[in-house]
Amino acid sequence: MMLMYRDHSFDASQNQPWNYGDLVRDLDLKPIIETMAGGDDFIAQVVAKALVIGVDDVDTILYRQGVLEDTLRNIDTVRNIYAIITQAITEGRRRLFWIPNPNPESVVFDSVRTLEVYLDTLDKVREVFDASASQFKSSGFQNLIHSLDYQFDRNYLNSIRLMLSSLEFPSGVSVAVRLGDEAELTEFTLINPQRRRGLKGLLAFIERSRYTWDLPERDEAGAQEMGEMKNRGLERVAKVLRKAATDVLSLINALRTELAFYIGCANLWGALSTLGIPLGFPTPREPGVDTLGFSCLHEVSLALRMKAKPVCNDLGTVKKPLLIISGANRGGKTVYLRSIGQAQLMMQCGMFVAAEMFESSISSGVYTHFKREEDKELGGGKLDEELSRLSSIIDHVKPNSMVLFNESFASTNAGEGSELAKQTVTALLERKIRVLYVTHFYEFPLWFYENRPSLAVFLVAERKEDGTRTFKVREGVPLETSFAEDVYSKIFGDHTQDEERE
Amino acid sequence: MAFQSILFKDPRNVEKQLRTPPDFFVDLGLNNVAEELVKGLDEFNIEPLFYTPLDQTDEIVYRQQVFVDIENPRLMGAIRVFSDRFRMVLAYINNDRLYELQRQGLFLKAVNVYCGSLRDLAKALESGGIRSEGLQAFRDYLGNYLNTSEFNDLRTDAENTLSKITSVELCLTIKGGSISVSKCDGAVDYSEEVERVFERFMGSGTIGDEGVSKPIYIRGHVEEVVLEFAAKLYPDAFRALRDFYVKHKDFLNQTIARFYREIQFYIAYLRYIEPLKKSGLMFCIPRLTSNKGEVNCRDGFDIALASKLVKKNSVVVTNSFHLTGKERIIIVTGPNHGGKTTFAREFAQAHYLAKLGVPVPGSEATLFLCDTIFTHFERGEAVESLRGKLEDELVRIRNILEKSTERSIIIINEMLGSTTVKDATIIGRRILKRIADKDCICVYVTFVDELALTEGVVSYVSQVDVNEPEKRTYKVIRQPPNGLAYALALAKKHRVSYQDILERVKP
Repeated sequence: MMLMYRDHSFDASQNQPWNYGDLVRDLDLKPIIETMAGGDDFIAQVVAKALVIGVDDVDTILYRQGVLEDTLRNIDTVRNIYAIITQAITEGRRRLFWIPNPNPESVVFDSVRTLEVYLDTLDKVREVFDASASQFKSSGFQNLIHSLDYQFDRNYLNSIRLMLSSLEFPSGVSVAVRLGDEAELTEFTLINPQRRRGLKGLLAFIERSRYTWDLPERDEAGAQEMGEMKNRGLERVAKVLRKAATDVLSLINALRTELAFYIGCANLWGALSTLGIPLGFPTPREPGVDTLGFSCLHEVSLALRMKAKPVCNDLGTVKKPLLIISGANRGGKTVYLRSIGQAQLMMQCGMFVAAEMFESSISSGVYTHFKREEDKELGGGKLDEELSRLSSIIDHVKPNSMVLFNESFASTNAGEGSELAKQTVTALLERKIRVLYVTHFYEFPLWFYENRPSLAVFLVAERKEDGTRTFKVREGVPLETSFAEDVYSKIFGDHTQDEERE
Repeated sequence: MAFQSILFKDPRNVEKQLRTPPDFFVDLGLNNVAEELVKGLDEFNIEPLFYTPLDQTDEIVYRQQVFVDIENPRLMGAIRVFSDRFRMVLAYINNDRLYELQRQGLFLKAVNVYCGSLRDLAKALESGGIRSEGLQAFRDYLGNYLNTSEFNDLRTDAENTLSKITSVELCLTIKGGSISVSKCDGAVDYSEEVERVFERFMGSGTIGDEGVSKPIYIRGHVEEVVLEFAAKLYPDAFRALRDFYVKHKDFLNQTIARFYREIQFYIAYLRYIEPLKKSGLMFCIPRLTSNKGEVNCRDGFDIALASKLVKKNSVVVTNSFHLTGKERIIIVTGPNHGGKTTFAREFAQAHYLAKLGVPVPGSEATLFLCDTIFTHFERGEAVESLRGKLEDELVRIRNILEKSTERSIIIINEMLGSTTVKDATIIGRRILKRIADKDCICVYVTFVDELALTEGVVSYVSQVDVNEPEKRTYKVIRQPPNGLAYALALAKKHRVSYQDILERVKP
């Protein structure tokens, strides 16, 4: 309904991307989707798709940002329209008979009844918009209001209502037929039941030879045959009406879907601003330049889960295809990676982000490859499983995609793992794919540090002199130790470092 | 001699058909082939044709020639169309569930379809470049029949009656339980009007059929009532219809009807092999020879298995075989499930199908005109002891050796499994010796590699891919037995090396 794209509707029936499960799990999208839904299952379904099926052009992102701004400003009106539509859809469903594979006669009957409901709804929606048209400034809402005014003006709706009442056939169904090559009745054509005849026509009609036969009582075979004759006459008009009803419904559904998305965004906006988290509209950059920069970026799900404002991170704008984040375990590396992944998805679906500032090049797809230590039931070796997931990603990535690796290949020893990481990343970079890689390996970041310094930004999880972690990530050269010993000693309270090393 | 049968050069051979399948039918998987071939053709009683191999070369060639002719897809298409239409004609005239006026109408249609189908078939036969004795004779017969005044009267009467009937137009109004019928002039299609009004908000896309069930066309007594009213409104047309029905009751030509029944054999076989051909497999008309030393078949396959695999979109592996000079015995060895038995079936099937006069699997084939085929496959039924099992096997092979002649083909599949390898080798050699003495052709599938080293036999081996031992190739190749160990483990291949990624991700 042109609130999400300039020239077409958001297709809510499209499939989730193949890696939907990975994205939700790796980027922890569940709290975000739940907060957006606010208990409305329909909104949950829509945002679960819209959030991960981003758009890859700057114009559409800005278009949506405009609509979202309007929504935030007129949230009561938008919720009201959403309620009207939701109710109409329920009512429309109630009026259907729900016969499987219905015959033309019942299709005509059902379609007429549901069309009446849907057209009334559009009438109402148009009125609400007309009353507050000046409040909506975005081109998205303006386009919608214009198209409702144009397509469903009152005169047109009245002429349709008139036709719907004639399609109840108060004076019977009349059809013209011919005899076919086996003397069978064929070419059933429906005749206008309300056709006015002049006086002359009326006389001819009366004088015409006419034979009438009445169905005997309990002649069920005859009743069925007669019913099917009617069906043959109504077949074409049934298909037309069914398509009309389906199209109006899908129009209404499309509107509901797109409103659901924006209401979802507004819900999230409300929840995050209550926590005092800074929110703003990001700046999408053209794909291909590998721009990335932000200030005070939050990991949204962490905030929602904690119901508090967590630590945020900054990154002075860089234009490099590779980000390697290394350093202390439990130092906030995963949170950092997630926050970028979330912001990238939120930006690309047209939403705000949880940051004071965020800019990034548009990606032609976001993919995640996180280690899965919790998977105990998987058959085969862990490395085997990791490589097989990588292979699925390779099936789908294309230039300008973004791949987020989190401790990938950690299931093998550091030497082999580093080599796999190096090969994978080098090849991806050659294919113009952006890579963000969290690792505790030493050799892998070092190789890029020494051999491809111009391609990479190196970040480390911050650690103070006394060993405490700030959960902040800063630019810095790759560190040799991963502080696993620290974590170990914190938990076990001793210093058996030598034993810990394999 | 006037044309009689498209299946037999000498029509008296029709009488010699067998009612039950040969003993080896199940072993060779031919029961499945026959079953599927005759599916939906019960009325034609085609099975006996598949049970009855032809022994005379000229009878075989009579059919082979027809197959060569109808390889021309235009001609085959025409014959299929003829067959479908003729089937309709028979269904029409045998329909006894209709009321009087309806039946007269359907009879008219039957005659029109009949005339059209014969004329189209004649045209196709004239221009089809026919070479076969059988189809040439039929073409001439049909040509003569179409020029008789009997046929021409039938045709013109049918056309005239049809044009009268199809100019009838009626207007029906159904309200509640009553239907009224009148003449109808200048009716306007209301559906179009409705469509125009709703056009404005109907999205793109055509108006489809989904969600609206197709109305059922019932030819019941209500239609008969409507037709009776129509007969009052259009008395001329309906008088013509009744007269036509009375005059032409027995219009069907019996020789053509027989051709229609017999040609089903060809249609059925070609229909069966069509999906196989589409998948890239080849069929050929074999040359039949009485010289065992020139048996040869290229790119053959097990037709029953292939038919199953093609349905599942699986790949069918083809295999070739040949015998030269004094070669008579093929020993097939190699890994289990490597296609050994399939290869043996392929060999025997080709020889049997050749005797039916039909195209056989392969790109080219020269096959021995054998008198019969014997198969010795493992028996499913439980025999109490190993000793009993061996006994049973040897009794069966003895019977085969007694009945076989130097023109027989013997297929032995995994015999002597109940003995030690050493015993199996010794006994196997003895049996091979007996078969060699008979000078008959034999394919012997065995797990005993040593048998393939017997002097005078030809060794075929089912192959394994050395790089991927888990994968069967199903190739059986003429070579010495190799006795390789196949239990190599495979490294998982994920294709995610540096080179692989560059290859898989397009820049």
